[in-house]
Amino acid sequence: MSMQERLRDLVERHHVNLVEQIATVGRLLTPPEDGSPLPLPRIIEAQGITHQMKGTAGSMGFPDVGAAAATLDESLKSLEKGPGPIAPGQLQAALDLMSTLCSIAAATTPEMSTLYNADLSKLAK
Amino acid sequence: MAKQMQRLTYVEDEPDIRAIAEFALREIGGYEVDVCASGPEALERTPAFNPDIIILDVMMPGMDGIETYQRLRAIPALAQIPIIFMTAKAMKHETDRYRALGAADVIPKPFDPITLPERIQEIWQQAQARALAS
Repeated sequence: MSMQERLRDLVERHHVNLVEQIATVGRLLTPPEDGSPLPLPRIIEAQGITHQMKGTAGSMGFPDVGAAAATLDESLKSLEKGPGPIAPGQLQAALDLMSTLCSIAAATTPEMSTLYNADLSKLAK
Repeated sequence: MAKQMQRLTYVEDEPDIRAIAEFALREIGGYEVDVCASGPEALERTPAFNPDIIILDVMMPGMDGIETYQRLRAIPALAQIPIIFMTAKAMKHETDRYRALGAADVIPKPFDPITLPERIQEIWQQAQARALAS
């Protein structure tokens, strides 16, 4: 396998993980059906994932996904600073940002990574 | 002949970021890299690996990058090795804190894997120059 093929393989595997991570964040942020507040540990877990995603997606050549994850990350951090469970109204801004992240990620393919077609021929040592 | 940077210890818990940075350091940079998934793993292996430079993630479960840094520094053989923090927590007050601890530099995440080896080399050379001057 060439260096370019190995890099593409990494990007493709990351893309699969990215889709799974976004689905996990979506599940964590889904408000309880009975209208009760979202428990704070779910916000904290979701924020841990978005924090990772902002660094990883950007480094894997998906800057738009990384930027959307960073915005959601900040929103979740501000919710964490509150005193306790998150009321549905307080959660709305984060859910809107989650929706934006989902739309951007859904329109993203591995081939769109800036690394996918990077010219590595002059770099290898 | 001037000493060249050859060996790196890289500590990162997140598998995807670890994979892309390892790819960049090994395949693009051509360095010999010891990749550790946690602070305790780094503490166990780094003294024997004897790297020229160490790259540390900050946010890791259990022992975080700051504690790992302090424990690595307490090992006499590693006390002078340049250590770089690589982190998404790179606001100015955060990077100031890492530098105040004695970090050689801070690389913010996201990073560009294509230019990462060059950036590490540059930081290593600056650290060598500071060591010679002091």
